Order: sequence, then C-alpha cells, then structure tokens
Amino acid sequence: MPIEPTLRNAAHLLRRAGWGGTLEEIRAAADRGIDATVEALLDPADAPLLVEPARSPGVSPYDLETLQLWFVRHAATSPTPLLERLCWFWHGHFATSIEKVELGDLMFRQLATLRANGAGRFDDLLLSVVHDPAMNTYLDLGRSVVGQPNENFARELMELFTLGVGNGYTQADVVEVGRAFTGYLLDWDAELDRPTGTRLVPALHDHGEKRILGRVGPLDGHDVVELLAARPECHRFIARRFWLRHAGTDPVEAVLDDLAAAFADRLVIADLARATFTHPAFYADDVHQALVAQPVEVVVRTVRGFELPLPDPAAGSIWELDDEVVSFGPIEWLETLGQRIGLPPNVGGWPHNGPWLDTNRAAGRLLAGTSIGDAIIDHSPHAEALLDLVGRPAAITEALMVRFGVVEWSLATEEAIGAALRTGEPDLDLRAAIALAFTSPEVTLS
Amino acid sequence: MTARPDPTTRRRFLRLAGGAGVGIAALGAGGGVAALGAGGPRLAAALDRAAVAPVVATGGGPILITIQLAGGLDFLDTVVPVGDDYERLRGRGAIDRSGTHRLDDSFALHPSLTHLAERWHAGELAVVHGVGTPGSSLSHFVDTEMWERGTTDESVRTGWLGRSLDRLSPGRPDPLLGLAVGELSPSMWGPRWNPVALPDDGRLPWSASFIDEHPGVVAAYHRLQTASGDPGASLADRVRASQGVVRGVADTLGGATDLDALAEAAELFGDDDGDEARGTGPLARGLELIADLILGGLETRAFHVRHGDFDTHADQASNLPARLIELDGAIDGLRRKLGARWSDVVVATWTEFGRRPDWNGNGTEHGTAGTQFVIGPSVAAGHHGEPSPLDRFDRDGNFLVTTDFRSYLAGLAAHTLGVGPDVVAPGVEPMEVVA
Repeated sequence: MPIEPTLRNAAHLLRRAGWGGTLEEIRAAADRGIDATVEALLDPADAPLLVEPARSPGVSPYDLETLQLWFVRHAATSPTPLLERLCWFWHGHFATSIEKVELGDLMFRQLATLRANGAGRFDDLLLSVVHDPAMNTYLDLGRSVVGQPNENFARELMELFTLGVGNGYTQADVVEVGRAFTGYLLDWDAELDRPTGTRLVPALHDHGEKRILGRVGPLDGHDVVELLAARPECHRFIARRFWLRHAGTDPVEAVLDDLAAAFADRLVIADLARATFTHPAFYADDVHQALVAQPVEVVVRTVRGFELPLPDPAAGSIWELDDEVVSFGPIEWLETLGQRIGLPPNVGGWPHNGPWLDTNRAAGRLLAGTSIGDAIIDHSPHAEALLDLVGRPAAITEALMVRFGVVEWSLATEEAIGAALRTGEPDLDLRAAIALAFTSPEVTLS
Repeated sequence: MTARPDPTTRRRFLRLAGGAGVGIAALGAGGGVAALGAGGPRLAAALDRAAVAPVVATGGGPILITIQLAGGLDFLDTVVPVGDDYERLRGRGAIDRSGTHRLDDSFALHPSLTHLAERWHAGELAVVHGVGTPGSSLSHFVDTEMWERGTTDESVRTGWLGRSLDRLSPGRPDPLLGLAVGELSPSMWGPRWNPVALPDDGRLPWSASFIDEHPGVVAAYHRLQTASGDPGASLADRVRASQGVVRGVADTLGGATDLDALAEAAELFGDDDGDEARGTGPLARGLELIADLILGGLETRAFHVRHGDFDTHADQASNLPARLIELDGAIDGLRRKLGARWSDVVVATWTEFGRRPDWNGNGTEHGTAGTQFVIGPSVAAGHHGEPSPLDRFDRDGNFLVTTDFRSYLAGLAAHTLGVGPDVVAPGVEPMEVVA
C-alpha cells in the first residue's frame, strides 16, 4: 500500500532524505506522491560534478574553514540532495579526522570519493575507502607491513564499517585481516608534495596463507572486502545503521529483515535507501521527530530555505572575500553548534540524538540562531518580503514556516515567535523571531 | 565578564536557587528505573532498592576528579617493570630505561612522569595494577561504555558516577554535585538528572558579582541542567525546556524578545571563544578550571575530564611521552593551584584497556589489563592489585586481568563519595585505594 502523501509525510521525507524543503517543495512532493518523490531523489541524472575549492595561498592546501563553507554551499545548492546526504552519512560511517590526516585536500578527496560511490554498490564503496589516502593515514594502514601488521584498520573495518562488534569475528580474524592489509602504502606525488592515492607494494605485503572467517588462502585486502561485503551480518549491520541515522530509532526485527533483504539482493546502497524511505514504518508516529538534526543538517536546511548567497569557494580563496558575515557565518554556526565537517570526535563518527541536547548545545543553538537571524535579514533574498510583513505577526510566522519548511508550528513555538514580533523594532523583532524559530523543536528535530 | 567566584559563591548559589526551584520538583521520580531500559531485571531491582534506601547526607567530603585516558594507555611503557622482562617483551620498541623514575625494587615510572614520581615519594600515589573488564572485546567502544556504566550489565543506561551522585542528592536533585569539563561523560548520566557540563575553554557561566546582579540567571541555569537531562522526557520536550530556560535568562536581562539579550543569555551558557591565558593544553586548562571552582567554594563532589589520545598503534615513541608529560604537568598544576585544598581531592585515572605486550614496529595494539593511578594526600599510597604476569598471557597474547574494573570503581565511589558498592555494581568488593 502506498504511503499516504500528506504534507507531514512529504516534509519528513525531504528532511531525512535530503536537507529539508520549503513549504512549496513539500507541497510539490506531496502532489507527486511519496514513492515517486523517492525515485526522483534517487535519480542521479542531473548530479553536478564536484568542483574543488580554490587553494588558499599559504594554507596547505585547504583548511578546515574552507571545507565547511564548501560542503555547506554544495549541499544547499545541489539538485541531488539525497546524494549529498548519503555522502554526509558515509562521512560519519567511515569517519576520519583532519586532526590526524592534516591535509585538507585529502579530506576533500575523501568526501568526493564517498559521494561518487555513496549510492552505488557497497563493495565498490568499501574498496574505494580501502584506497582512500585519508583513511590510510587515519587508521595507520600505511604503517602496516609484512611481519609487523597493524590492527587499527583491520579491527575498525569489521567492528565499525561492516560487521559490528560481536557479529561473527574473533581477535584471531582481526590479526589475520591485519596481515591481509599489509603493504598498502600512500602514493606520494613528489611535485604536489602530497599523496594522490594508495597502492599495494608487493615487497611489503604478507603473501602467506591466512584464515579469515573460515576462508583460507593467501588473501589480500581486496579478498577481504569481497568476503566481508558478502556476509549477511554485514547487510544487517549496514541496514541497521542506515535506519538508525535516518529514522532515528533502532529498527524492529521485521523492519530490519525487509531492509537487509532489499540491500543483500544486489548490494546497491540506493536499494537500501529506497527500502528505508518507502517503508511504512518510516512514516510511523514514533519516527516523526525522533531524530535530533545534526548541526550540519540544520545549517544546510536554513541556508537552503532562505537561499543565503554563500560565496563559491571554487571561485577563489575564502580568505580573500570581503563579506565576512555571509562567508564566515556557516563556519561560525557549525563551530558554535559543536560540529565540524572533517573533524568527527573519533572513528565512531558523530553521536546520535541525546548528546546533541546537552546544556552546552542548548546555548549554542540560541547563539547560532541569533547570528543566523542577522545573516538572513542582511543577505537573504527573502528578507525584503519578510520586512514588508512587519506589524503582521501572523503573516511573518507563516512566512517563516514556508522558508523553514515547517508544516505546522506547535502552539508554544507560535506564541514565542509571536511575542518576539510585538516589541516595535522591526529589524530586531524579526531577527529574534528567526532565532526562536531556529531553536524550536520543529527545526532542531528532523 | 570576569570568571572568579569568591568563597561565598556556593552559599549564594544555593540561596538563590532555593528560591526558584521550579521545574526541578516537577521532574521528581520521572526517570528512575524506567530509564534503565527493558532488560537487566536483577541490576535494575538492585538499583531501584538503592534509590529508596536511606542515603547519606549531601555535604563536605573528599572530592573525586576522574581523568579518562581515552584510547587505551600502554601501561608497560608507563609503569615499567624492573628486570629483563620489559626489554624481552618490547624488543626494539622498549624505551630507554635510564631516564625512568625508580619507585621501588619492582617498578619505575616513564621519564615523562617526574611529578607523579614526586607524589609517590610523598606518599600520595597509589598504583593499581592489572585492571580490566572481564572478557574484554578489545573494542574502544564496548570497553569505554562498560567503564562508563561501571557494570557489565548492558541494559543499564546510567553511569557509575551518575548513580553515585544521585544517592548524594536523595530529594531535590542538585546538578552541581557533579561537573564535567567538555562534553558530559556518560559515566555521569544519572537516573533522574544529569550533572553540569561546562565548556572546556575556561569560561565560567557565572561570577559572584554577576550572581548578585542577576539572581534569575542562576536559578535558570540550575533548571537547564535538570530540564535537558531528564531521560523520561520526549526529545521535543527536552529541546523546548532548554530553549525556554535560555529565554528565561534573556527575560531577566531585558526581555526574551530582545535579540541582544538573547545572544547575551546564550553566551552565558558557554561555547564562546576561549580564554587564551589559561594553562597550556586542554587537560591543564580543564583541571585549572576545576581548581577555580573548588577554591570558589562550590561543593561539587565529582568532576570529570578527558585526556587523550592514547591509541598508539603508530608513533608511540613520540605520542605517548607527549600525552604523559601533559598529564603529569596538569595534575601537578592542579595540586599547586589548590594549595591547602589539595588534601580534599582524590584524582583517579581510568583507561578503557591496556595495550598488547608485543611491539608492532611503530606502536602497540589493543590489549586488556591496564594500570590506573590514584593521586592525593588521602590515598592509600603504594601498589594495589596483583601486577599482570609478564610470562603468561591470554589466548590472544594479552596480559591477564587481575583486578576487576568494578572493584576499582566501587572503591573510588565508596571511599570518596561514601556510597555503597552496590550503587556501582551489585556484589563487588570495593578496593581500598583511599585511606
């Protein structure tokens, strides 16, 4: 039975499978129907190519700030929001941090790799991660050579990336996978003075026989990827994680069965996404508003909804831009909200739900909200229309609903926004109203 | 805004908060056993009994500061055994023994731990050997969560410190009994309320003069801790509660609808630019902040701060000494800053696991048993627990665990916070690490 195409369901889908939509977009999605909207989201036909940020003189070669602005702008303006959302999901799954990787362009390259393979076959994605220089650096893969295998990558490959802890592997498997992954070294480009890829150096690889998950032979990293991607434990583990991060709850067994079956058939991630976003359980009451939007998600949603004109980091160094408010706004907002692209807390990625609601974060949301209010009034093409409505609180509240893509404000939020709009100073009132809308449960929760 | 509470801060704080304890009573018994999740009936029942049993009164007593050494500290390089075994096990990865600080006939401390060695000779250092989790998974995440819960029961959703602090606050929760620098450690998650988390940039959310001028702010801050930590509330209610509290603060500053007041209120709660003048590393900064709070008169009983990364799969020869120097200097900075109040403090480390005896060419792999330090004038100085044998290993080639991590944590809880060991994990024998 098709999912009922209510505005509430359509808004829910656009928030979880993309970066939200304006009320017009939500209406269009509802008119089109849920299944058809999911298909359109999954269609990569008009996916734009990624354009690298410009290099900043004296900075080697991109910095964390450039990475933030580049990703936020790219995600907010992309005609294929689900592809960007999948890239973001995989960045949290195959987490690496610039803190250890150091080179910003390796972080950019990794995001490009995750995006290119993020909806395709999982084994292809896994193989691209094996050969990703950022991952190679982050989990010490390049330090692992015959006779001295390093277990860092081997363990996380099974624990966090494919099977899940306790799901059918032992410490002996970790040791053997470590041996299979010896000799995968960074490929340094002397002219660029940075790695451009990785390669297997035969002399440093352990060619001996290994026993991994019951299979015996002179296995190498590619064999291990093939072996792991074929395991039913892997299909269930990835399906569970995908559901948790998009639905917000742990899937019940029956739902997990459906997802894993859809995924296992061809190992295509788009199949898993389709099974998730068209599942009746995805539209159950306890899934609506059961996910705390991560800061990157809520910032992209706001930039997108208000069409904030961010400068293109591909066009020139962000450090040579004149307009600081709008160029550096998203960078500051993410920092205040406690999340930065390319800087996850550890290899497990970013936390889920509860930790985003601690006391430091509550204050950060309001602080970022006030700054976002400033940026919208000064730079959004929709600011003039909003200011024209001054004196009509109900109309402004409704206009904010359109831009934030909220189908219905709760009474408490409506009252808070309404009260902010009645003090008689149009600019300040509107900024406070935007800040309150930004910190409301309707926007904070996805 | 200056950040120097005077000794009367706590009294003022309590007076002011007492006048405006709304919202806190409303939380009441909301969490309780329901927050523990579905399974684990045995422990849940034990903890439930603990929640209704008579409790010790809140009040003065030793202050426990836990330092999480995240990533798994290699104890073999940190507390080096005297004799040939060390070089035999580590091969060419062994550190140069000549710079180590000899403790006694059995052990020497890493060259970076100069001040800790001084504490040993002053009778203020306990070295706890062979500490680990039963049946270690060798996973950072599994073992860290086990240490945070303080029990092997995976159905428990609260932390060992959170449960202990809850026992000290039997009536109205007092979120200031516990305080984390940086993110709130899950070890502090409580059954009814969560302790305070402060940003690690050195800013305090209040000062003595500020409290006098804005009593509502302090009461609201108190409410924020309970509102955002209530495990029984829906996500939307928790967002709304925290939003409402910050807006309440803005009200006292000039109106919830005034943007500047909103921004000012938000800044009071932290997450702003750091104070560069403080300390050197984040750990030193965090411990200095904790010293300020103790000297300022807050009767906080447990603090938590995190230090790392100790996951030295590679470059152990350079990374481990750097982290240890920071640890050593930061603890000594705390001692010097506290002056006479140092005698009220017990500093205890924990790390999710130790590391493998073998050298992998650049570093060491995930292991099992680790060594923990307990530091302060009131500790039972000396060695505790049986050192893991250097010639017998488990089936994965790791050191044998000789001390159950639950006994270690229960000992800290019992002898500093005065709560029964069952609050940490039912049936464990608390170690006598504090005199």
